[in-house]
Amino acid sequence: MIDCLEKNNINKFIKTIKDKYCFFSFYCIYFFTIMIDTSVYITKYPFVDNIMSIIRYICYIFFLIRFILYFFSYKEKIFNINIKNIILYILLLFIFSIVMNTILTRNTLIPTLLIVMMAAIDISFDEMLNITYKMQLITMCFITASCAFNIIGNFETFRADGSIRNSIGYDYPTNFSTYLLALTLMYMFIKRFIVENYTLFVIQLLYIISFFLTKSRTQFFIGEIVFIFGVLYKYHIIHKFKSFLLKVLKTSIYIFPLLPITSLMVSMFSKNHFIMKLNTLLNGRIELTKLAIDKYGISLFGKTVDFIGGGLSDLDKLKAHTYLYVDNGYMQAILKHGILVVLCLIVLIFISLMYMYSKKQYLTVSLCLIFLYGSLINPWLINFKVSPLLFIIFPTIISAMKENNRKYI
Amino acid sequence: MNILERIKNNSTLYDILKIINSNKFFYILFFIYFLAITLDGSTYSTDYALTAKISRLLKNFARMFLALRIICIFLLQYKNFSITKFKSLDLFRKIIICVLAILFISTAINFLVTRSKSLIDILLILISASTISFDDMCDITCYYQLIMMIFITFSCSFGIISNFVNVREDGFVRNSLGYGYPTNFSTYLLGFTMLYLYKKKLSVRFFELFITQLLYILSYFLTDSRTQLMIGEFVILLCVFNKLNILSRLKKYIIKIEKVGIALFPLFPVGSFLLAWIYQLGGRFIWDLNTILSNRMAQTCRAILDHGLPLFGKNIIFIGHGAQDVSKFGKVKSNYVDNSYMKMIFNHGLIVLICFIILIFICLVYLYTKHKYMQISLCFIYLIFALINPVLLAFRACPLIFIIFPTIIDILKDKSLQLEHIYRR
Repeated sequence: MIDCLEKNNINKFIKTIKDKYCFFSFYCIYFFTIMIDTSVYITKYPFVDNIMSIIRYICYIFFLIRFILYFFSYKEKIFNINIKNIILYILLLFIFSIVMNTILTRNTLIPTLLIVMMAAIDISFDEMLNITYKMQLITMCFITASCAFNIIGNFETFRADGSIRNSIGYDYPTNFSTYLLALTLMYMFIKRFIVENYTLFVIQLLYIISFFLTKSRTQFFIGEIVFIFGVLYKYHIIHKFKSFLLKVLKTSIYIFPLLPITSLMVSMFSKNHFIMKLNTLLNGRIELTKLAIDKYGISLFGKTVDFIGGGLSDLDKLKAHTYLYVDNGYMQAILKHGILVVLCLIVLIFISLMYMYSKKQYLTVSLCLIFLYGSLINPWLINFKVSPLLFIIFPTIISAMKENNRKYI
Repeated sequence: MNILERIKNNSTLYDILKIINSNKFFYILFFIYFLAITLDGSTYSTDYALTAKISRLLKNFARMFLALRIICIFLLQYKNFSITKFKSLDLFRKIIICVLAILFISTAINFLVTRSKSLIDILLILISASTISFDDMCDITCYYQLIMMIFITFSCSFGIISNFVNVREDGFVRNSLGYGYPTNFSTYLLGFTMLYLYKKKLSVRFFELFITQLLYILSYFLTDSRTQLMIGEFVILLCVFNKLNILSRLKKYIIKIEKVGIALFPLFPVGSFLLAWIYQLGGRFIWDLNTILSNRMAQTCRAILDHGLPLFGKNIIFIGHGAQDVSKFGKVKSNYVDNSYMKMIFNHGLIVLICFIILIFICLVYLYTKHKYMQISLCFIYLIFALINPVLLAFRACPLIFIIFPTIIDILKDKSLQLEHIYRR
């Protein structure tokens, strides 16, 4: 009788942990902690950092348990997957390279991200988008309110032309505009651009206010493109060019794996006249990438890299060292986590995109491509705070593997 | 053959009349006028001398067609009204028409005394909009406010116009984002968000609620406007309560509060006057209250002592700390009166204020009898907000006055409604 009761309790416990909403609750807490990490809270109240770390580790334990439980309940299905399937080998290589990167660099970022990704294995990408944008919005309200009411400070930086950039409670001004862009993008894509004129205008107003405060041009520019796209989509103008746009989308998917190589090549030829002009346009991003490559070199499994940016948390480091921050998402990942991790990641994302394209999920593919192309000038690739892009991998790959179809590769 | 029949015989002329009489035509005119007053209230007017000319041109254009529209409305819609019909009306409706007549006469006298066209413009727009329901006017005002806000903040963000900076006594920097004064930005922001939430009957989704909250926070961060933030938070709280079905449970009490509110509302101007008047008495409590109200009591009291309570208004130059006033007069001590009711007395006269109060009161009572509690709530927020900000007649920020004419027309048409019914309610 007691055994039976215990069994029932264990089953209840397993069921609770495997429950979607339980995962969402922990993910929300986890997301909140990583967002607080990008705010002035960490520098103004150092104990917050410790609290956030403890909470985060509790979340990681939950995510790990959830994945293990998931793995055991579906092990038959997983082991039934064709062993000759190449995706499986890429996946294994990806996990191996992450382990190697962690051993060599003691960098826990990517293994922890992997744990979260694996825990979300049965959650669809759309659901992850939904929860991410909501959490971004809540934390944004929390951080900006904390700043507006003087609980935390507003970190101000100056552009070369003397214009002031406000961080509104974040560690760096660009963070605010990036998160705003990301959440509005996700919202519009989730709603399939079927939003009221009012919402479109309010988003536009927010972009302008964000630009006024942070002077972040890239984010404003991307926001405007999406806004125009949204208007054209809403009024069915874009549908007239559907076949052409689908071709563009497909070509963009094919071009995307070349982005890391292109980034590397551009950095290598930074003395070229045209690239020098491009470098000026990109606020010296190419030159900085070249400097970082010269300093740290490119390795298979990554190196311990200490980037020094212009954020509040790097202010002390800036006194002793010169500014060295790589904004290119691909190059940052190559330097930190190694070529192999990035290569596997690119292949996996590419397969996922092709799979989704074949399933006619064009808007989701477009959103992913915005984040992927945006990663050329901003570190968005391995960054849950901005883009839940990585959550696309496991659910899509599993579906692709189940179908045992090689056409996606 | 009367004029209307002659016009009807001429199909082209009749078509033109119908176009002028249409709501869409009014929306275009309203947009033009809205644009003109937005330009006037922004730093466009201080940065570019040409703005004043363009704005005047736009206003005159709008005035001309608004007048034309009023003629059309009377020709096509109110053609049956005559003196004989007035005699057949009951006392209640006679009083309403008399109040309207007094309002028009005192507006004309106000124009002769002060040479200010602002009240005439307001009446032109109000009569022109008399065929459009209050809800439609709220809807259109919401969109115009939003579009103008995008236009002005965009111009400011890209350096086309300057960002007027006002520094508080505690050293806090307040940004106007292209408007003439920092508070304007937060007032218009509050205006359009409130109108949208009203349109949605407070049933908004998660995204809209939090985006509104984010906008309020950013607005507070930029402009440091406390009143607007407080009202905004109150409205958001109402939305949350509505989502949690708390409002429906409290409906009985809300209706009672609204009833008491309607009864007390005519005392708002009296209260405003007394509050300003008692500043002379001095004392720690009054001085503290004055500090909380950002010196509003002292400034209103000074205005009362200097100008009295004019019956038809006076040509008083109120100098604030806005971009236009700073560029005209330099940085002098402000004598601005923020209380809408008191400002109306100084600018347009006591009689105009009394007429407006009577008309709004009648409208509120009528809406109460028709169970339109949401409209009453919105009006109350504006009426309370008008105690500390000059928004009562500023339809750019608050479309409250658009409730007057459509409701009055409904009352005049509604034969079943008698004074005793209203009294009983």
